[in-house]
Amino acid sequence: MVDITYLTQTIANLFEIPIAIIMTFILLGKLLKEHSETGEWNTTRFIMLGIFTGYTITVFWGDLYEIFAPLNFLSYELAGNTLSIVNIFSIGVGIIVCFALSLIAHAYNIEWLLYTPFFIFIGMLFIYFYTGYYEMYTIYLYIGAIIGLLFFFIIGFNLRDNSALGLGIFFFFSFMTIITGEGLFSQILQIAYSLFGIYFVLGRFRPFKEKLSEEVKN
Amino acid sequence: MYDLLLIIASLIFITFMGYSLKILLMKRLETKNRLFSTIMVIISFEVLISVLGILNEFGVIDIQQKLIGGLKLNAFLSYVLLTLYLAFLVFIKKAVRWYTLPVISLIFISQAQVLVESDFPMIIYSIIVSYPLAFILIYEGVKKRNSIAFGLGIYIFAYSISILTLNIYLVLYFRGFASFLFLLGVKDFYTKYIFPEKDIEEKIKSTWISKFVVRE
Repeated sequence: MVDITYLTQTIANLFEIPIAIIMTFILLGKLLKEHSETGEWNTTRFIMLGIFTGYTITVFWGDLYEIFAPLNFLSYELAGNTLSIVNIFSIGVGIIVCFALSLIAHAYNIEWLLYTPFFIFIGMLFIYFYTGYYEMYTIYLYIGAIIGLLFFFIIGFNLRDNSALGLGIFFFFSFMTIITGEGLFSQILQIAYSLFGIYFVLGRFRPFKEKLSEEVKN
Repeated sequence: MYDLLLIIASLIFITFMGYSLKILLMKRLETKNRLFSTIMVIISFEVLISVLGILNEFGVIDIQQKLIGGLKLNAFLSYVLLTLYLAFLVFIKKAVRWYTLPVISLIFISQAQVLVESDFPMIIYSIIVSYPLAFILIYEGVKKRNSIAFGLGIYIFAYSISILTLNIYLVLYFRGFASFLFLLGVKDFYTKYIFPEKDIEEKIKSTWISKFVVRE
């Protein structure tokens, strides 16, 4: 008897993995192209690449864990999709959170705060590997993710920033899939936000067209 | 019964550092350069730790006392001192994006010590902080002919090397000697005699050549 939930979940996961990798490579290509043209690294693009690299790590290991769950191929401690323990999945989420908080600092020009999320994250990993204590790590991830998500929308609407708003929408639906749990709705949402992700990284998502064109002119 | 050798070593250190502080204070008042204040804060903290060490020898206080969990008073003071050095490093390099690193590292290193009682984090932290700072200060001192930077670099390097001996007497006497090297830096000894100005150097060279020619 085929488990329908597992089957649809696997289809959604298999759909999500290559898309996450493609999105990251598109952003990497854009960053390198701009660097070769201008000779300078674009901080915003670099942060975006960081966010999607973290997302790829999360999706790749989290989905692989779900796909191979019946075979016990990957252990829950290594790749289980939870933020309650330190594993590859939660480290990927940590990378996303750190880059998201850096993006906020960068958007508001608070230079001294740019690396701070990374220092805290590395500190927490050090504490975990040295002492085994990880309670604060989980709290940091949740609070950081909520602050990051909230500010993506605030920056998006306040500064009329397409990238921040796009990231906000993308990660809002990504969060929704965690909240809704396993089920058909969650899997449809998973495929939908993956498609939105491709649309977004290709630079097609431009709700604030006028503002962008003015900035380009300037 | 207190250890007289340890007390003498600490007194040598306090004397040299106290004299250095006096000169630094005068320079600070003359030049209004905030960098002198930063160095003075670090040196004052070093002296404070040394004074606490002497008081510990006399049994007035116990610097081995635990503050929280496995965190001892002497370890915490060492962490604060290393953090001051790290702050000084990011300050002189004007690395604005790294300004929060010293405070965050102090919090996590202290937390690690609270949870697990071990000297391992302090050893790693001191190696990460002291050697790069010493080399940067020596390099900057030579490059810019800055006697104080060079002296402080030499002091940190010599003191860091002495810690590797793991012998308390060697460490303290070496620290006393290193503080003397720092005092020389504060008194502009290195600028005058080790990195003389180009024209003065040329004069010296030409004098030697001329003397040689006259003799021939």
